[in-house]
Amino acid sequence: MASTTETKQKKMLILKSADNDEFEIEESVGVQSETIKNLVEDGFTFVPLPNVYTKALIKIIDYLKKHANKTDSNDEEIKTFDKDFVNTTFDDLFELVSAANYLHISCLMNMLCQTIADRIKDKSPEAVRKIFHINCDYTPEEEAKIRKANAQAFEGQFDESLD
Amino acid sequence: MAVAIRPKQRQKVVATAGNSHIPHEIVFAILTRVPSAKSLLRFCCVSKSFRSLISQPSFIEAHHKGSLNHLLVTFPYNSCETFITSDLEHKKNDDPLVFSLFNYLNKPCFSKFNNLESINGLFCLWNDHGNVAICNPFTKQHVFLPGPIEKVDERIVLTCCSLGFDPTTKKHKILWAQRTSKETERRYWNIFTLGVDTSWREIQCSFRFFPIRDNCVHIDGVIYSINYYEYGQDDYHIGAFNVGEENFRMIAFPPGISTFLSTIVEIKGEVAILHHEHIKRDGKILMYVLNNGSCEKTICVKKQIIELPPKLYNIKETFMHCRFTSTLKGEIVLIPSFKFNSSIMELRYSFLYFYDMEKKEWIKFKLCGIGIRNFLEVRNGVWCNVAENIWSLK
Repeated sequence: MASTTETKQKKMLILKSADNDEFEIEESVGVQSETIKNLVEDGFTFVPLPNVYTKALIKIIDYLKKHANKTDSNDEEIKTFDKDFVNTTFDDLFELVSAANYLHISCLMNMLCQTIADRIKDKSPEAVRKIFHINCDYTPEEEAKIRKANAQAFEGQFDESLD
Repeated sequence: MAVAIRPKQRQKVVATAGNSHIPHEIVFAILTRVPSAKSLLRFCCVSKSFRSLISQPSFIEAHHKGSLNHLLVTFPYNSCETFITSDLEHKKNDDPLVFSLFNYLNKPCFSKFNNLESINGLFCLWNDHGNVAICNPFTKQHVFLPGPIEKVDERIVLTCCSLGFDPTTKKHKILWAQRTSKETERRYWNIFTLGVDTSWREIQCSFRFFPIRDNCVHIDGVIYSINYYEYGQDDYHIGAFNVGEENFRMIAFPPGISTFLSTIVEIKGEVAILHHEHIKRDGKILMYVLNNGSCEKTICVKKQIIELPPKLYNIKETFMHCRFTSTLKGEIVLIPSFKFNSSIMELRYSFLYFYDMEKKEWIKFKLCGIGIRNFLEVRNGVWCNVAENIWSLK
């Protein structure tokens, strides 16, 4: 029967997010993640992901599906998809990058880190603190000293926006 | 869109999970990809942890390796007003960064230097009067090194500096060879570790060789240079200086070639000699890839003949100089210059040729981005690979 051949060809996996949602995906899509690949090689078909929340996992599954179907002809389509994928807030990008890091998806990790790096490049240190949710732990004197030591790096105008 | 199946007890999605504390490895991965040295220096004042991360040698090294590479080329002699730069990854040359680089090197404080060496995006500038400076044009830092060790009654007539990097300690060192006049013919070797030493240290070299300028290559903590053995004799060897251990090895030239019309280059981590003595006659470049292992007698492991592209072959008699370098991808770069009275003047200094070893084909690259060189009087021109970096000189 046709349907049995199909199930034979397409091995499926279940991924479980940190908030206990389960997603069924094709094995060939999932193994783009080194973490999932290692588990699959050990015979697992049910993969709990305690560090990946549903919101990020949905986006990451979309990414994996798109990139699993990469051919010579849909290069432009994938580029457009990637561009839309990273067009989001810093908080979302950080959540995605943590997930991509945990799942060991190196091409996604690369793309996300490069996106964040390019977007913070022209920011002021104050903006970077807010984006990374970091409290400044320098005393005003210490900060002034570091600014003075790298004076040329503070020449010009910087982007204070947080997006 | 992925759809959740068998939803169990739904918890509120924490949108900013882990956000207030982004793991160190992720901050590392992001900051190494920040494409500008200036931005990284500014981010040092974000927090103490940012500063300590950005100052780590392993971070600086990772950032430098990930940065886009540029090939800087300037031409010697009459047209020293021109410089040409190119972005190797994309073979284009409209990057404002490279202009700011040369503007920096043209600063009046560097005007007394007429020799230049570069590794890791740092530049070593020197002259025969005992002046040596190291600068990082990306962070705009520079240091003038102390004067040489005084030699009573001895006149240094020739010097040669090379810049090296010790991959173990992540420190840069400067190797400074000095030679006295022909009558006494003494050679001295001095070394200076950047950020550690306050004066030059003399080291011993049991070989009587002396490096030829502009003919060295730095691979994995070893400086390989073409050296002559005795002054005025056609007897050449490759000197290999281990930057970490501070010792020398001598490597014999491939048999049958012993002329100075050879250039030492790196081809994907291996030392190669490009021999072009007869290029004006037969249009051929002989490439010898050497096994640069630790054995004393280094042997040529591969010989390859590279033919000039047809258009250059037809005008090979008009070559004045052929200079060579290589790219990180292992392409050979030919920088031709032609005789002044050549009828094909428009060809002078207008093109670089990249040789792809696998495809065995030349790619012609038209140079633009020509600017004014004010002070930098580097005798033989400059050809080096540089990438944005924040290596410190302290």
